Amino acid sequence: MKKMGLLVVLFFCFAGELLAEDKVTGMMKTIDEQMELGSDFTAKVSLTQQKANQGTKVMEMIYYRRDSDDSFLILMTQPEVEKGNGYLKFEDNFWMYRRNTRTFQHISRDESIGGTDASADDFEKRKLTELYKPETDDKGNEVVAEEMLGAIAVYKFRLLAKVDDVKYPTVVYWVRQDNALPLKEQSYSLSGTLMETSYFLKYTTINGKYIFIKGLFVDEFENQNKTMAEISGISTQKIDDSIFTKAYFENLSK
Amino acid sequence: MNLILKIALRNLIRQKRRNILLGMAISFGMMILVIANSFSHGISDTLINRIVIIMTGHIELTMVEDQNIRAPFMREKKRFEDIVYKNVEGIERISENLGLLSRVVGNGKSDNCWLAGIGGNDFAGFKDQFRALEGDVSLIFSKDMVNPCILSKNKAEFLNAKLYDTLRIRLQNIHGQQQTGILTVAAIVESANMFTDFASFLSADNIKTLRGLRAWETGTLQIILKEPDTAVEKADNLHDILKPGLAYMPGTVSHTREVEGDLPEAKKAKKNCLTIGFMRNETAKILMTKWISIPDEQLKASLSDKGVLVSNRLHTELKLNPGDEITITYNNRYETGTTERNYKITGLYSAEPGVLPENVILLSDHLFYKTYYNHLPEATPAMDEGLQTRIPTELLPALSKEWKLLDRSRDFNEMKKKFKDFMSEKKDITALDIRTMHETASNIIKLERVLNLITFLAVIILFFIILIGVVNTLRMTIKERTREIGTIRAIGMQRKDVRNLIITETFLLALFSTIVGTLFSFAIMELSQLWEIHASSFMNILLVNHRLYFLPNTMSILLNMGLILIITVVTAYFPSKKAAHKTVADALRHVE
Repeated sequence: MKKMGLLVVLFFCFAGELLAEDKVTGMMKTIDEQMELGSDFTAKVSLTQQKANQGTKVMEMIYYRRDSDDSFLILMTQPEVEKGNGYLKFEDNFWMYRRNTRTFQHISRDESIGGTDASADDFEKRKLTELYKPETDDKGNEVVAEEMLGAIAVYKFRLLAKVDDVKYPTVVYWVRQDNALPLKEQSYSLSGTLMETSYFLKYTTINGKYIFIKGLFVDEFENQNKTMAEISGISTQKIDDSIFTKAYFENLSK
Repeated sequence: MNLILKIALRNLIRQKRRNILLGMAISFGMMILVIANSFSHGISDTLINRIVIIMTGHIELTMVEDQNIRAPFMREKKRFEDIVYKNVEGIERISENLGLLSRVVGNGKSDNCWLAGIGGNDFAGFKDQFRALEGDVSLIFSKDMVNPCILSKNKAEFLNAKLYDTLRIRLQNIHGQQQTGILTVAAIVESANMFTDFASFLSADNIKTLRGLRAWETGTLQIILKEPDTAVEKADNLHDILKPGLAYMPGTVSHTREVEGDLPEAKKAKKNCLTIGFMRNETAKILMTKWISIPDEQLKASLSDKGVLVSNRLHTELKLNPGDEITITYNNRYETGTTERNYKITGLYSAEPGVLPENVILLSDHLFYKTYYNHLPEATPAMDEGLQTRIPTELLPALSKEWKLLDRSRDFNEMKKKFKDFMSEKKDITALDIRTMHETASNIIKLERVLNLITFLAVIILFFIILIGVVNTLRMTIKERTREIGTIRAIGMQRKDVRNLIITETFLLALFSTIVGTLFSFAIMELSQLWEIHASSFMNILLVNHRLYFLPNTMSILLNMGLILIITVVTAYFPSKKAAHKTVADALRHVE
């Protein structure tokens, strides 16, 4: 009987480990699936940036993306000095367009968008599972903790970059236990300094997929600079192919 | 001749007042020339040797990977250094430019800051340029502090940073990842100019660590020449030498196995292979399809960014087919161990004998360079030579090169256009640009030329005003002495001797005056060092340690001296000849 009891205990311990082993990977896959629209996407994005000694800066843009070939176009609409400028990602190419000079320049993915803390790669569709892997303990098990974030039960887990070209080599997620929606994310530098905390404040569902429509990004490194991102006017109608071209920007400049 | 010299000297001393006044005018002219020339040389020295050298060197080898022109870095520092030392003469030193932009947070204040790396080779020059107000500049290499840094006084004041304070920095490493670190203020130096006010200096090793560069990697290589004027010629020569070779990875290939022993016996073999990249531009595709055969149904996928083409021989020997996953392994050139990568075969190819070695695997440039640059493969020069001669020259443009050598540009605008063209499309190959200060620092070179031209024009105008006065006075003096000339002619002096006497007198007067003028110019330049000038940021670049900077040049002084002597002698020649040719009676009757 004792042996039987021991086996039961061992079974549950083992089963627990098995569950834990897949839990984070599973959640990462769920997050990827939930965020992947599988259709075209148009929205108005507003970034309100507050910086110490620099006041508030509001930037507005129209964001077009096409999931099928991972293309996107950002057209700046506010402030006036940025109006008509934009960014285009098509196939391997990433261009920045300047209305004044009517020129395109190839840029890297870490290029700032309109001088804000947001960079071009923030608008790319890159799967969490392709970029990060879960932190594991000495036995190789994925590490996950159950916590309360305010009144909401969440899983907290740490992800480590598995490719070099990510902005933050380590990120920590707080994900809702009931639907695997990320509520909070902390991003760390290579040397382990907390650089940014992101709060995903509001989501909406479109075609059964979740899209965050309000988020707060706090720069933890410097003076608690903050950026509020709001997404509105979402449409999943098919976008004309002519949008994802250089000619689109050039025509707008005429 | 001795007699003429003696008489000339006696005449100079006898006519003290006249000669002193004339000598003063010549001295003043000489003084202006020496000071202006020294100032002009000082400007050139400050701009070229103190600013351009730090910013770009006289020649710079820049490699741009992943089209990130803001943070260039070079994978094989030693290899390029060796090539440069072997092929370029007159090198003073080669410096590593590791600089990058960072955000620095001080005590309640933050600012953008250029992190500049100082290597052992650069330290002597660096120490000469910066006077420590607090701390010790040599502590930059200290291991007892965390990232010891040197700040200019202005930067330290802006950041509210005191000696031994710690500052936090944020930067991007070579992969684009966010990196943070701590800097310790080891010394605060005088603000030398606007460029140094923007920078914080760290040891090269510490910057390398922060940027994530490995021992064999660096930022850009800056060549400092003994004769900067030869930079363009030497850069052109280097451009001819640094032609890229074929890029390839010699290693082994096998079926990918997830678990040890999971493959059937027939698929367990491992064969030597040579992995070469193929370019995906239209010209390359035409060449590829001309020289190698790919089944039509495999062509599109095989020439895409995911293209992996295996030779028919490897297909036969290893039973490899499209869709199979293969593992390619090769030895690393710099890191210890091997690199292993898995690829999915998109097609098989066949080629006429002798076109390519039979064990070649062709990867799209996108797949190839992703691995190649991160883990450079071990290869031998003999292998390089063998491959280059075996592959038809016509096919070579379609295959991967070590780097893309950008054309030489003559000025900043050409360089800008060149990079605009290079950046117009996504390229996986790394670009190598060989540039000189005439392209990278063309604005500073232009500024130097304009400032020198302004100085030259101002001096020439002033000099000619003085010269006209001196020449006129000299002519009048000789005319006034017509009766004296008549007297010495009457007591037997020959015409030629009279002419030579006057020319010698003028020559000696000019010689003494120019020497005195030179001495006075040195005294004035020295005196000017007593005053500090706190100029605006632009004018600040003309100052060194807040003082005017003069750089006298012996050759220039001798040239100026020669110029004045020639002008005065020529001026004296004609009236003295005229006076000497007068008859004695006419000369004695001469009345002014």
